[in-house]
Amino acid sequence: MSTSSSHHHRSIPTEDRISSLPDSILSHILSFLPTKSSAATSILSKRWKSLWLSVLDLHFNGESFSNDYTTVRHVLFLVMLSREVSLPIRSLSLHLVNCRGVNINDINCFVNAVLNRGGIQTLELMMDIPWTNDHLVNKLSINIFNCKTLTVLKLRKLRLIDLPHQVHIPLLKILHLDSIMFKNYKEIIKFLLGCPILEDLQTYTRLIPGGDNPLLCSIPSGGSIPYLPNLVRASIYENVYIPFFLFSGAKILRINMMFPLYIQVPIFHNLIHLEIFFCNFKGKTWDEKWMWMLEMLQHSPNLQHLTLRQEVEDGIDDNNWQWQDHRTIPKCLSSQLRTCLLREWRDRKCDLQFAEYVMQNSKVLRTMTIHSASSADSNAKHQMLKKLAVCPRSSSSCKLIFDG
Amino acid sequence: MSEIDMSVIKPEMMKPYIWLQTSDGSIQQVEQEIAMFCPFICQEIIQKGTGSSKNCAICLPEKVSPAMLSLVLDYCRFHQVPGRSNKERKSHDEKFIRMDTKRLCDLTSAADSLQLRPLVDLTSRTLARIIEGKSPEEIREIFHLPDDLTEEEKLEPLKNTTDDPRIRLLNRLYAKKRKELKERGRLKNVELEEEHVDERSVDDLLSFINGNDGDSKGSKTSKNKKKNRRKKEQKKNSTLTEASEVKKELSGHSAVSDKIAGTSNMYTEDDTFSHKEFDDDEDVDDEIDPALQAKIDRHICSESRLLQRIVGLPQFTAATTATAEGGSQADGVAPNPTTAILFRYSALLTTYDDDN
Repeated sequence: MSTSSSHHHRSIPTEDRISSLPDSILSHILSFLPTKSSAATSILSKRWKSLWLSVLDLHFNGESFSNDYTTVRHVLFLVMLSREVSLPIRSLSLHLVNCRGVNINDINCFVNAVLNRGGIQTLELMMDIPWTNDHLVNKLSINIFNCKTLTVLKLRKLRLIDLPHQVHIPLLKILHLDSIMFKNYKEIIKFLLGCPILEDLQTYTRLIPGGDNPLLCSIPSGGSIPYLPNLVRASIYENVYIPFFLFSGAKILRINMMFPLYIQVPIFHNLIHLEIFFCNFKGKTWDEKWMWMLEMLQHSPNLQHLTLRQEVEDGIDDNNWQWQDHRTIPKCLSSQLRTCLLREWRDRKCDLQFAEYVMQNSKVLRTMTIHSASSADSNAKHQMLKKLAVCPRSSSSCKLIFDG
Repeated sequence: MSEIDMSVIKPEMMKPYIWLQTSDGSIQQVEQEIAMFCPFICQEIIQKGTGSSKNCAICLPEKVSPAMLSLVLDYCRFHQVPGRSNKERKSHDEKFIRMDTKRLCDLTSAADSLQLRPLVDLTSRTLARIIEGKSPEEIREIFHLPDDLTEEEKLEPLKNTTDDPRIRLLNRLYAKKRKELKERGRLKNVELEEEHVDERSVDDLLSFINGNDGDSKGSKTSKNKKKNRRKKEQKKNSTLTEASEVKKELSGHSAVSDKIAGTSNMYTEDDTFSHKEFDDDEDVDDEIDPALQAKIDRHICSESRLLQRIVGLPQFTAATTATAEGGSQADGVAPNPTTAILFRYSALLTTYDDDN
C-alpha cells in the first residue's frame, strides 16, 4: 500500500512534530487508545513499529472490537504473543458484547496469562454472554483473589463460584460487580472482607443459586461486627443477600429496594448522603416500609442529605400502616439533615405524612424538594402542594420547592 | 524600613517570587506558590536552594521555552487554587487544551520535563483523541511522520522477534516436518501439477519459519514414473520409519501435541501423520500435501484478514487462497507465513498456560 499523500513543497523543511517526545510519552499516549487503534499505529513509521507493544494497558472493547468470537480469540492470543514476555501489563479491560460462542476457558486462560506477567492494577471483565443454567458457562477461574497489586476490579456476568479458601486483595479500592453469582451468602462476605481497604463498592443484580434463606442473612450476633473501615461509597442495586453490616462505615449510600423485605441495617456512623429507591414491588405491598425507613433514619445519626424515590404502582397503597408519632425523633433530623429530595411522590396518605414528618422535625433543614409523580394529574398535584404548604416547619430557613 | 516606606510598597511585591531561566537563556520572575506546583521546580528550590535571586535562577530543562513556560504557568495558576470543583477544573482544561498539534506536542514535552503529571495526562489524552479513528496517512500528515517503512515491513507488522522457548520448540518441530515433507515430495509424480505449486508454498512456509528468505525451494523435476514407483516403495519404508521417528519426537512433547489436538479445531501435523502414513494407497503421499495445504491456506486466509483488520490495511484479495477447488497459488507474500505461525503459536500458548 503506497502512500498517496500529495507532496508538499515547503521552503522550510517540515519538522516531525511528535518525534521529539520520548518513547515513554508516546507509549503513554497510546495507552489511552483501544488496543486495536494503537496496533494500527505500527505501520506509521519505523519508530512506531513496535511502540504499541510497549503500552502497558490493554483495552478490548466489544462494541468496536468484534462480534465474532474467533476473531476475538485470535486477536487476544496474537497480542499476547507479540509482546515482550517480561513486560508487565498494568491494566486489562475486556468487554465482550453481542459475542456468540464465547468459550470461558479461553478467557480464563488469557486472563491468567495476563496476570502472570505481573503488575496488574486494573482489571475489567465485562462478559455479555447469555446466562444459562449450565454452571460451567461464565465460570471465572482466575488467580485474582490473592493479587497483591490490584486496585480496581470490575466484573460483569460471571460466576465466582470457586473462590479460594482465603481471599486477600490488599490494595483493592474500587469494586464493581454486575450480575455476579456467588456460591452462597458466606462467600460474598468472605470476598468483601478480603478487600480491607475498599473505598468504592457498586453492585448490580447479584444472584445466588438456591439455598440461602434471605431472612437469615442478617447482622451476625455476638462479638465485634466486621465491616469495611475505608468504605466511602456503596451503591447497592438490590436489598437481598447483601451484607449491609459491612457497609456501616460508608459516607455515601445508595440502595435499590427491590424486594419488600425488612432488612436489618447497622448503625451508619459516617453516613452523610443517603439515597433510597423503592422499586416497583410488582403488586406486593410492604406494610412495614415506613417503619423500616424510620429505622434507617434512626441508624444514620450524621445524615445530611436524603433522597427518596418511589416506583409504586397506582392503586397500591400503604394505608394499612399507621404512622406512629411517639417514636423518638431520629438524631439526624433534629441536628443534621440539610436537604431532602422526594421524587415520584404522590398524593397518598403515607407519602404526605412522611414529608410532613421530616419538615416538622428537621431543625436545620434548608430545602425540601418534592418532585411529584409524572403520572399524577394536575389536580392531585395541586392538592399535594396545598397540604404541604401549610405544614408547620421546624426549621426557620426551610424552603419548600415543589416541582410539578 | 520605616513605616512610610512600607505603606508605599504594593501588596503584590510582598509575595515571594522565584527566578526561572528558560531554554533560550532569558530569565523571568514568577510567583513562588504557582511555580511550586511543578515538582521539578519544587525540588530545585528545596534541594538546591536556587531561584531566590536573578543570579541563581533555576535552570529549566531545555524543552521549556518561554512560550511553553507561560502555558504551563497558566495551567498551574488555575489548578493550584484549592477551592475549585471538579467540574470547574474539567471545563477549564477543555478550553485550555485547544491549541494546534505542534503546540500540544511541545507542551507535553515541557510538562514531562517539569514532571507535572496531571498536565502530561491531559495533553496525552488529547493527542490520543487526535490519533484515534484516523487512517495512517492522516496521522502521518498531522504529525509529519516520515513514511520510512518498506512495503514488506508494513505487511508483516506482527513478526515475533522475541527469543521465546516455545518458538524455538516449534521451529524444531517444523524443521523435522519439513525434512519429512521434502522426502515425500521427491517421490511424487509430476502429473499432479497442482501439488507442485502446493508443495512449493508449503516449503516457502516452512523455510520462512526457519528464517530463510522466501525463495521457492528446488523444483520437483519430473522423473520417470517407473523409477519413481520403485523409489517410492523403497522410500516409503524409510519415510515410514522417519515418520514414526518424527511422531515419537512429536509425542515426546505429547502433552503439547495432544492438547493441540484436543483443545481446538486447528489441524495438527500429528493428526495428519498418524492418519495417513499407514494408508496403502499409492496416493498416500499425494493426499497429504493438498489436504494439508488446503487447511493451512484456510487458516492463513482468516489470519491475514484478521491482521488486516487490526492494522487497518485494506483487504487483500490477491494474496493466497488455495481453496478446496485448487485455486490460486501463494504469492509468497509475507503475511501468510507469519500469520500461520502465529496461529500455531496461539495453540501452544493455550497449552503452556494450562501447564503453568
